[in-house]
Amino acid sequence: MTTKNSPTATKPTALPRGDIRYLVAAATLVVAVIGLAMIFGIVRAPALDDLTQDRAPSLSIAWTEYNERSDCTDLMVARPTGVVESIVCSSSLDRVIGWPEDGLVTIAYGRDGDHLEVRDPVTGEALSSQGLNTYVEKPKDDGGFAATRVDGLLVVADQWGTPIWEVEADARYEIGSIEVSPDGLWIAMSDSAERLLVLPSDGSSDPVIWATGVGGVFMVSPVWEDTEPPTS
Amino acid sequence: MRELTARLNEWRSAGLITAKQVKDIASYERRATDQGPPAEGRSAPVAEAVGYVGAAIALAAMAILLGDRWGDLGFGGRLTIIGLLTLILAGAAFALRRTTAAPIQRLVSVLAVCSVGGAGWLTAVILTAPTGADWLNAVLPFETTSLHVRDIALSVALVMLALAAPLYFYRRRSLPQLAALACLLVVTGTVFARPAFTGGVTWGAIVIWAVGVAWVLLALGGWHRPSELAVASGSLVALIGMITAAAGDGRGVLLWLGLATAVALMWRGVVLDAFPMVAFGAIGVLVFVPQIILECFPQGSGAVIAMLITGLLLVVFAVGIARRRRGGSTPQEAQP
Repeated sequence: MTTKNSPTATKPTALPRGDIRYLVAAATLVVAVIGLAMIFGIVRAPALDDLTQDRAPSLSIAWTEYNERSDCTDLMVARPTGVVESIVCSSSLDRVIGWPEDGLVTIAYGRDGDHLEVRDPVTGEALSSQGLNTYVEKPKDDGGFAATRVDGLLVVADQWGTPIWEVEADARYEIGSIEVSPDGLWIAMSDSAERLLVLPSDGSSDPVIWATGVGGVFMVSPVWEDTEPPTS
Repeated sequence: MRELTARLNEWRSAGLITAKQVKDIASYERRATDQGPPAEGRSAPVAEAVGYVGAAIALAAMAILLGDRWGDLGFGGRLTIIGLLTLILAGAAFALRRTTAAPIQRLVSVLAVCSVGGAGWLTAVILTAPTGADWLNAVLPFETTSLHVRDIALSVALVMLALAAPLYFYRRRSLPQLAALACLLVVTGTVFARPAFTGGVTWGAIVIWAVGVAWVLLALGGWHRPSELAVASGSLVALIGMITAAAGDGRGVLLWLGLATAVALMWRGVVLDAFPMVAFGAIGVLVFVPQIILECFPQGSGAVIAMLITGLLLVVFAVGIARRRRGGSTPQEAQP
């Protein structure tokens, strides 16, 4: 398996002259496979508009997300203005469980075990801390909204099964958690394209993209402003 | 080289070639394999190995010393240290590049590949710059803080590939070749880890399989040097790619494709008398046949049938190899 030089080549060169047929075969194989991957491997998420003021909810939403770069957990807040920001990144943060008037209620890790921590929704500063004795783990309330597949369509329907959003989407495109706003007017949902979408709960318009790059489809469980934490 | 010289002398004794031709061929092959003088003392490889071990220990000690203070270093400090280290490595490789001694040539390869790694590290440090590095964000066309980890990984891999590819183009040796292949694989992996490709790892692994097969094809076509290493590394990459791909969607088809790859490797390996291809092909057959049988016969005596087929296939190839060897075929005759 030595280099196959052309008959005229008498000296070794930096670039070996090989058999052009093998070069063509290798290039064809790679190009063909990449082409197939582009055609069949890419899951195209439905194209949606970005959030605009006339299609923005009146409330903010918050969630936590692991920040690989800084090795800490971001406390993310998306505001009705369209601003999406990490208000604090802390290694003790676990998840958001409520957002009453006095601040964002989170579960945080601590030396003495997990505890409830209330944080300022603007600065992320910890305002108060207390034990988990008042916290009651409850099943998530999605208001009866669910995403299903019907005849090749992705359908998001309300509690009565009335479709509020129908879209043609790749079979591998998924909707993650669905969260209804406390006023019942909006629903927020994460999708497999790492987007946070928001749409009116009556389905009067298509969803808009509130935030991008929000982690895995089932990793984000956002909490709306004015949501009471599940405490006794 | 010694083996070649012995064969040439044998042919000269048999009157097949002249003494001048022996000298010319030996001289040509010495230049072609880019090796230094053949008369290399037995102690040289040992000394070289000891030298590398010593350098590794020194580097490890430096890493421990630096690791303690790394967290306290600012962005500028990190940039300076890694930048200087990369420049020193690249400079040393450049300065020694014309030395003909084989150990020095190997050292040049090590230094050059390490400098590629240094450039990748430098890129990672730049792209993970903290918010305070405003001057950097003024120079770059994007905010470094807005980059996702996968963007940083892809950028680092692309920078390293952009350096490793020309390095291998310029230095046709084992280490630069492996570095170029590794960078290519990391670029492929990071591209297909993007959220658009949410179909699991299947497509990324299929592309990695294609890269492996293409690498082998290029080696067989004489585009890689050393070709034996390229054949071995490409075969390994192709098999790992297909084993990974077959764990996801389209398992049935991909297992057959994996088996076809393994059998093709064995077949070409037997034809070319190339042991790495036969070995990797045999491993592939051992991996894919039982899985295919279990897919086809999920219950019953599938495993026994798989073992029987695998064993028979391996015996057939072993007989093929033995027949070729007995027939006196040489690798040179079997070249494509």
